[in-house]
Amino acid sequence: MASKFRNSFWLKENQFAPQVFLFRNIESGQVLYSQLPHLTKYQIKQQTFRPNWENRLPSSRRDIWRPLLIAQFTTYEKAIQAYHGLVELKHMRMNHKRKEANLLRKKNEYHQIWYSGQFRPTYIQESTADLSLIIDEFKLKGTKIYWDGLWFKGGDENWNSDLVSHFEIDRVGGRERFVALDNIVKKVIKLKN
Amino acid sequence: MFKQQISKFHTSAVEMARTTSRKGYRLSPHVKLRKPILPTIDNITVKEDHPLWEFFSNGKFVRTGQEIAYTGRPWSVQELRRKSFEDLHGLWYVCLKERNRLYREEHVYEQVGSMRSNEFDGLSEQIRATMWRIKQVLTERDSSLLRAKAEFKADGEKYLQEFREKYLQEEQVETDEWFDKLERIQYAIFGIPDVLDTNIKVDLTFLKGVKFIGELKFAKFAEAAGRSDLGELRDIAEIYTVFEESATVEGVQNACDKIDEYRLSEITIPGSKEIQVVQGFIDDKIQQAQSEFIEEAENEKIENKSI
Repeated sequence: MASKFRNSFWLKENQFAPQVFLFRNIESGQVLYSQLPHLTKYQIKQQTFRPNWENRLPSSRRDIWRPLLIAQFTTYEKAIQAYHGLVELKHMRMNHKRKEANLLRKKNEYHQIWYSGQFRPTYIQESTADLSLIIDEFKLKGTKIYWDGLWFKGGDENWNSDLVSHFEIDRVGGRERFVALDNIVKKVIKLKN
Repeated sequence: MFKQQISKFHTSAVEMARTTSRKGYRLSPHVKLRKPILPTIDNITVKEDHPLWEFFSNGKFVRTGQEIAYTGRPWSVQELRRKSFEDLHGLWYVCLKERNRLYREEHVYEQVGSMRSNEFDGLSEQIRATMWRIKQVLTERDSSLLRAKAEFKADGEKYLQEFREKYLQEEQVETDEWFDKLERIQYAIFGIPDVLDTNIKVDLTFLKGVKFIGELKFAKFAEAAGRSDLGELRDIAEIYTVFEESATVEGVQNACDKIDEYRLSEITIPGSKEIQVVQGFIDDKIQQAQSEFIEEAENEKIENKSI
């Protein structure tokens, strides 16, 4: 289902909510965006630009991808717009704005992206920054963000409280994560109907 | 000769965003990137009763050396021998939790290369001494129980006979001392607890205990209660009736009244059915107690409502 780009009409027809899902890789800290509550190789292929030793081509193993957050918008068009925006910002960070992006990152003593083992926390932090930029840039009023742990949200000063409100996903085990995401989708669809 | 190849990293999502003609739909290429948002613990509230707080002393990250300055000493084996199993069990967990706290704090100091970790380690070792002594005491108790059991196998009958004689010869047995002795012998040798609960499974030892205590009480008090006319107790139902009454003259009198009623029915329970019958008596009694308890609780509820 999540194996190619889905337009707003398709999402509506197939009972999906106007949401964008952010998944984090618990091994490397990389983040992938998805329109549906699942990940496939398509997202990896679509969103990995110029992989290198610091930003490897991630694996599609589903046990190392955990939800980071779910951004819920008021209309399907806004959800598509935000999704495009997020992917484009990622592209910018890897391509023509890579120097600018690199300046903002925390570095280690050798001026590499800070890491511990395989983990680079900067990717998660950049994704949340990108989401806040998208919401402000497109003025996506009424956005709701469901976080998997409010820890990732950062300070309130990063978010425009007129446009966005924050919630926390119920705490369940890793195995039930995708079920929890499906439930959130169902809940929204039910409210809309 | 060759057409210059231009790397294309665009994907459908990026390209679709670019080809859309609607104004304000896609991001400006000159947009200023934002600084990565650092996660913060300010967003997280921890419940007061979160189980992991057990690893912290009064919610403190680490204690200072002064706070753990100790002047005490570990519990000695002699002191621990005087404690009940419940006390030792409680003390064990107090020690275990404290050691976990100390380990955590020691680790924190070790990570920053502080020598203070040694102080925490010293205290932890002292607590460890208490813990191995608790184990020592429990091992002693266990081995003495095993020894007593082995001894009882050899001389048990003789011991019970002696107890019986002493009990029968004693003039005044309606005292707390003798009640305790009966209770202890009943529990230690036959495994019959003072308060019955649903886990009780009647077996041969249990049955033997019921017979021993029941017959002992009857032999002691039948004459005083003026019921020598009953003769000997005929079957397990009669013995159990005496067993469950208190070890007093009134107790045995009550039991004898019940036996009179029972003898009218002229039923005699064969030896093969004894275990089943006693189990039935116990189950009935527990059920009765439970239903009484429920009734009482309901009555209380009604009273509270009316108030």
